[in-house]
Amino acid sequence: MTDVERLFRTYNAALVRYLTRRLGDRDWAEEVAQETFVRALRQTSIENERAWLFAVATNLVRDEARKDMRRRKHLALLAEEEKDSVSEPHETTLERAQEAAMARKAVDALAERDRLALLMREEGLDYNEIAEALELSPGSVGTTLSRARRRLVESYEALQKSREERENNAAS
Amino acid sequence: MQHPDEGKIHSWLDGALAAEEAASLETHVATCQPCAAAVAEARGFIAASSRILTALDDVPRGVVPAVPARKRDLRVFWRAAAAMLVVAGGSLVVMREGGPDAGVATSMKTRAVPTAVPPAAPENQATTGSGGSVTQADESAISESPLPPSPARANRAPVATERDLSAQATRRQATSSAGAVTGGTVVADAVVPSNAAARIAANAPAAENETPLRILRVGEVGRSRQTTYEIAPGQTVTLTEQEPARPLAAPVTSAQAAAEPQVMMRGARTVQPSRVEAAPASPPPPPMMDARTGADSVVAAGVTAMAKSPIAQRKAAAAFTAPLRTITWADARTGKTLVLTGSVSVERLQEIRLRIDKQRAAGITAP
Repeated sequence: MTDVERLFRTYNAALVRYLTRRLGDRDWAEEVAQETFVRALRQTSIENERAWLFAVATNLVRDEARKDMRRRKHLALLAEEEKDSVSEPHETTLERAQEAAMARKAVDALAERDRLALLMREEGLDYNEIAEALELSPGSVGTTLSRARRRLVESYEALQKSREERENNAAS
Repeated sequence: MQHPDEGKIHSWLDGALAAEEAASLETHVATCQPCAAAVAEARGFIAASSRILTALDDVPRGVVPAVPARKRDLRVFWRAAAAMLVVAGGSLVVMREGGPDAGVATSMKTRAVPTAVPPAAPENQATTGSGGSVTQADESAISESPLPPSPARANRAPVATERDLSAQATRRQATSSAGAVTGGTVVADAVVPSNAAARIAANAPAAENETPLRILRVGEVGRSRQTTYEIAPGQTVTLTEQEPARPLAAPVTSAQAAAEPQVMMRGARTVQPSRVEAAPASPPPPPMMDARTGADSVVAAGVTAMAKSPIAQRKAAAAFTAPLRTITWADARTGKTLVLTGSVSVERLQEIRLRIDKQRAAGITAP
């Protein structure tokens, strides 16, 4: 097994999940992950594999996102459409779709650095790896994460609350 | 120690502090009420944010707004699970009827008394005769498989009549969405004169039938012999020959089996409720655990896996997108149970079966 194969087997799942959460589209996430491994192929040696892969993937997303804001808007639009077009609203499915939409909004509301640090942490990167991937000082990772988590939860709860209010208004 | 800030608390909870610092923070938190509350809050944030992020994993693929994949997969899964239950139930019925001729008795009954076919619950969307002659697990699988190209059929029209009748019957029964008793008449349609299969096999004149199917390999799986035939470049079907549980006095005569081929469609997995199971000579194993053929053990494994984890469920469900189909019949000469499996339509399998019968009759059984 070549080194890249090993990298792929070891990190692909986490990387794709990270990117999916970041991008909201699994196909796109898989594309970026593949490109990341292709870049890894060109490296002679990588010191901290995981941090390197997540950093490169993050940069790829950043570059592509800059170029392709339109696509993202399109995706958001489609996500909304899909939410509306759920036929025979299955209680749990609808519920879950709504949760996903709120989660998306709450994550999107975070500052980019906070969001990335949080998503990386969720994939098991330690503070040093996160610091390396995002070019932060290791000492600031705790602060970044605590801020990201608090804001994420607070904005999610705010969305939840406003949804409940909307539903109550609609019911009354 | 002064009160730790929120970032420090998260670092501690994430295990990112050096041992010494962690120990002193722990001591402090144990005695400081406000800090203990802050730690509790931080734990809440960590758990809640993880949960929120998990919701992001349920995203559509690409930009096509389709039915959410998971929902579709589950539906297929439940349908398959329901069909499996029906199959298991059918086998049990056959086994319980007991007696050396149980298989025949049951299927005869089915034919004579249409009401003996238990109507499957509509939500199962699966039908089965009590003899287990036709079971349909995935109606979409059927609609996905168009009939074989018609020119070939037209060429053979005069000879193919009986066969087509039987195929149509099978098809009609399999696609009957009511899932029930149309089976009565339909099965009657499918009753072909006793040596019809042999006659068709002997006469089948179409050009494509002239060349013998290429045999890629022959192997032994347990007590079964498996032959892989190439039916088109890169496309194969597998023939499994199972020794009869009892010698030629097997409960099903070849003619009956020929007249009423057992067709089981369960997407990628197949179970065949072989008539042999009904024979009391050897105590039958539990239907789902019957491991005489590779296919069956796969099913058993599949069931276990499906029961185990949602990932396995999705994988199993995903496997249904390339459905394998199986037909079963008894060899006229040896009394062996023959099982033909391939990713083609049932009608195509029936055609291939005739060619294989012919080839076997001519003694072509090895590469």
